[in-house]
Amino acid sequence: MDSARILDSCYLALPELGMLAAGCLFFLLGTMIENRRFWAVATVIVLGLALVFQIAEANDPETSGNWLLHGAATFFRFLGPVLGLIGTALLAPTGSGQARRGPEDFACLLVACAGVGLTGMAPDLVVLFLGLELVSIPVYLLLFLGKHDRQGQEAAIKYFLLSVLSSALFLFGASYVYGMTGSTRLEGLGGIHENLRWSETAPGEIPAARTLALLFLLAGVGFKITAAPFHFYAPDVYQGTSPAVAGLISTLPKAAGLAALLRLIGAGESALAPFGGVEWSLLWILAVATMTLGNLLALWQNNLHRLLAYSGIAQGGYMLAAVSTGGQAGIGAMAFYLAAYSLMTLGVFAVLAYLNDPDCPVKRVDDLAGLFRTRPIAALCLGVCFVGLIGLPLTSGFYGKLLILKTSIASSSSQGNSLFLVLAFFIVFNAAISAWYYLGVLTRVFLRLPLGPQAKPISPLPLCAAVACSIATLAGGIVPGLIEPYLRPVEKATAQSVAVDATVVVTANGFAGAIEQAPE
Amino acid sequence: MDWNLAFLPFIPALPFVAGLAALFTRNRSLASGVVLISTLLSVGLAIAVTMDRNRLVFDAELNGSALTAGQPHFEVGALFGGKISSVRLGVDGLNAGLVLLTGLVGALSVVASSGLKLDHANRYFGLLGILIGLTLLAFLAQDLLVFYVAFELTLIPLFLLVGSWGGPNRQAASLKMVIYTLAGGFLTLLGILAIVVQSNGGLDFGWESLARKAAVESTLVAPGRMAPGLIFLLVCAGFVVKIPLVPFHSWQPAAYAEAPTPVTAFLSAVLAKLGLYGILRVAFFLLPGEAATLGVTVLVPLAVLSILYGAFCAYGARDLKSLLAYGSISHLGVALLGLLSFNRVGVEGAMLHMLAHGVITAGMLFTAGMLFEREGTLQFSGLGGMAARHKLLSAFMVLFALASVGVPGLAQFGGEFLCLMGFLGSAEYGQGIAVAFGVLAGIFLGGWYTITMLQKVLFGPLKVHEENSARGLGVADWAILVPLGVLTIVLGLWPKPVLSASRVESGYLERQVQRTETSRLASR
Amino acid sequence: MIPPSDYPGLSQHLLVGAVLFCLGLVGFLARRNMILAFLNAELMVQGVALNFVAFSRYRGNLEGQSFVLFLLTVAACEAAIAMALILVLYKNRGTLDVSVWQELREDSLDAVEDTDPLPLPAAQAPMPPLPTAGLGPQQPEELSRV
Repeated sequence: MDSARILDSCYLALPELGMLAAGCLFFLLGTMIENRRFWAVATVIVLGLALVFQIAEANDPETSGNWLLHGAATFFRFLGPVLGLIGTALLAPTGSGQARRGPEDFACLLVACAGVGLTGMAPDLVVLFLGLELVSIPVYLLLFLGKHDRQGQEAAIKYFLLSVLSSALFLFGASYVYGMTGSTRLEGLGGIHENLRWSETAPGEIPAARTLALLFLLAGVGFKITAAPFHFYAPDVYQGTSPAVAGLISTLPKAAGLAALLRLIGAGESALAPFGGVEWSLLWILAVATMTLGNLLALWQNNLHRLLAYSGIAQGGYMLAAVSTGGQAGIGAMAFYLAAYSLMTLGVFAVLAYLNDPDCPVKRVDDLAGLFRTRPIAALCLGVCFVGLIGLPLTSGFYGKLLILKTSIASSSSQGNSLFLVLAFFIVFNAAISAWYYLGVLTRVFLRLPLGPQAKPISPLPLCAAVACSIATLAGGIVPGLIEPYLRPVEKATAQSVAVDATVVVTANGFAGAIEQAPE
Repeated sequence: MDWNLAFLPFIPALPFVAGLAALFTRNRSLASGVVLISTLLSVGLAIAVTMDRNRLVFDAELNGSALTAGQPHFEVGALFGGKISSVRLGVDGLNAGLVLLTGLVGALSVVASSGLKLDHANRYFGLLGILIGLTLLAFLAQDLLVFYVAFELTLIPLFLLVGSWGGPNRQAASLKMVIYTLAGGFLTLLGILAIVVQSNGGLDFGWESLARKAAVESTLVAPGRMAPGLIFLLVCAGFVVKIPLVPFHSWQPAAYAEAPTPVTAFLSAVLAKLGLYGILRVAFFLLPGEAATLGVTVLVPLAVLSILYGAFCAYGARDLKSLLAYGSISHLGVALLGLLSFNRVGVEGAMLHMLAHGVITAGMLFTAGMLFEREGTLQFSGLGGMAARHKLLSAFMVLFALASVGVPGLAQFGGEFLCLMGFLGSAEYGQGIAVAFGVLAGIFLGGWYTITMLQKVLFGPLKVHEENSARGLGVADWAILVPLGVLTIVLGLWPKPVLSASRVESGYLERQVQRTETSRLASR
Repeated sequence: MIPPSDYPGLSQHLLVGAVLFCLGLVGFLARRNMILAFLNAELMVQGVALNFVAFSRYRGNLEGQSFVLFLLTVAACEAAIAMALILVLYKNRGTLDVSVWQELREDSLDAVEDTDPLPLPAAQAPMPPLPTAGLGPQQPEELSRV
């Protein structure tokens, strides 16, 4: 590879590299400049520049270079900085007790946003792994920086150890994928059948090693998405940390995990029968288990952070369901729902961050009682976001659920497989269950009287973020037509990348054939 | 497009926008005035559009009628970017009467609320205006997505109205109501999506085009497609909870008892009809084949059960509001039977019954509210001998009670009679006899508990001895009672306009059901 | 380039890699010492690295080996964070036992207690708190006498 191509690749990944570089710079210069407002503004500028670059470059999608710059990648590269901007508003205010001056948390935020983008555009297992780690490692630091008490430290070590375990699982799967395909390129994944010659399998049969590799990869990614058997750390971690950090953990790693999932199965799609492959049945089971378990366990929660953690688990189940339907429309629906979920959840956490006062903490659901009487704007934001999470009309949550349900019904009738109808039923029942605990919170916010002294917000910034999230939630529900065009490239381009993959598979076959004949 | 069709979107928009505006005023009388005037304006518009529709239908019938020939339409295509759904509104025989009823009862609820003691009254009236607007939108929608959106969104103002201004157990009651309705609503959404996706593959929610395809599509079965029977049950789930029918009713007595009386009146007179209307418009028109087979098998027992169970519970009720709540379950079961006959007599009768029940039950609840204002209780143990103290009010109460019993010449008689006649005309012999006995027992019990109620409340010894409570009817009270009383008598004596309004649609439904029946027989 | 079939040692290498991975997994789940738990996770990663190297030779390209380089770098990075984090936790509770960290759990669950608890070491004098950035730690001023 010559230097011109390397420069080209760097240019195409400029926003992510820029965010990474800025993050490193923040870490270095943080010791010299202690003005937190300065760093907050600098973060906003970096993220804004990244977004501007994306918008400028989005018009000519190139598949050249070392990146896979298709629509899904563009989506995740947008999502990262947008979530980062809201996250900056959540992180910016400092409590009176904790005198945080340095920019470390902003630096972590920048690196994590870059990680989401890199995961989404990864052409290679190495970049995919690095992208995921670039999301995980800053999150350990955020967890540690977010709260200095014992609970915060416990949350940090829990998340850290389990995250290391999950990357080990992911790597194990990745090593077998490499062994089977002979390449770490993701396009090669589709060729697993053809390239596999070191284990004796009849043609057309799915080799056990492939299933094993997929299981491990899914487990590794499942930790990030908080899918059902790998979800158990989430409530503890959310409970132990501040609302701002909990909001970021509920969105950034989930986005990165789903991006990785799309890269893994989206790239291999051409080689798989629609529901014949192991992936789809695995994803189906994962989706159903995740949403059901998350919603049922959320019913028993009193702690707001735990409740939101289980709610996040359940909502992740809906997204997995959308992916498991297997079509391009499903991926588009997932993308819409992911964006909607991220904004709604960040909106809720923004309100909690706004009310975060060490003197009268908002921890239990009852602490929100009578919020509408004391802080109507915060309460309205909370109302909009929760109504969206329930999936009532005129919110992006409703439209996202509509898309997911539509996709599952459509793929059921187009593939002749009623399992997707069962999936739709699970989604509907889960939506009904989730209404119970979401409405429980809303009842306290709007119908009860305040119980005790009310929190005194430190800074209006999180409230602004909450208002922005609520407006976005409403806009996504009232005029989804505005957002829909941007999902078209996600769907279409995945189809494109499938076409690209097919050609790669063909060349890989030719290559393998050449090797086969060579020794003789 | 006719000139006054441009007014169609204003019918729901006026109360909605007025309600939104009222949320931000500080002044109680300003808030209630704005909502009241806007609701009255939209009633006026609705009357104009309905008259116009009748003229168009008459013209269309001269040229040979189709399902929606001459149906006024108004389309706003841009709202959803033209991609998903355009907002299609229209008045046809199915919703004309109900739109007028909604406007009327909505306006009267606003008037009736003027006597209530309310905190943050501006918010109360604002939410009431929003509720009225959304209900009107649900009735006017000619598009399943808009219908569903409005249907679900009514829950938000209801949740806040019942939960903030209701009785002592208001929060639990309102939570229960919303969760029941929401759970059913999600199932309905799945059913609607299944209809839409399986019939056209995309997301075209237009009711008219779906209804035209219905007879062909509903019989199609293929692997991976949702069975039409299942779709029918899913669609009905949300509406059955909304009416409510008996096994799904347990939210209703608590909600009716806890809600402020004007809201209860709106709930019972209008929103319960939204459930029946949804069953008719979505389930019956879009799945006529399933409606005639599975619908009859499943819904008829539920309807009869509701009639009997509601009547028994009403007989055992200890206060006026829960008596009316259970009585409402019982009466709406009869209307559902009328719809299930799938012939013109039954369906037209059911439309009349719905309107009559709306007028009468609103009248009963408003008089109950006035009684509560004067005496401070609705428990039968605290009331008695009211006839002597509130003479005019008692007279109105007797009028509404007699109408709800089904005295000939008053509103409800014609509807009940036609519903039963229509159903017996279409049912098989054994089933018809069984159902007829059930319904007659229900009507008999209805007479019993209503007359007993009158006796407990109006006659007998006076239990309360405070003199200051005996005041006559005020202007607002007259404004509420006179229109409802007049309508009760007029609908009883001259039901023809209501019956003929839905002639085209009920005839179409009858033909569709017969067509699918014959095609099913032929395929065997 | 070595053709794939000419590398008979592959399965043995994979076996060792898998054994390392499993040993690490068991150790990770069974160990209560935080440092050892983390080292076991590292052991899992080393098993994976062995897999990569073996496959790299089997496939006759260098992609697997380059992956291992990245992998080791990331592992080193995580080790640095781990040590810092564990040090802070140790300073707080005076032990490396993970079972003292049970504050975060479901409301309905009780903390898991040992039937035969280990003796806790004697409390040490608190070390000066490190600020997150910027200012140097404030040490008690040392009085020197000549």
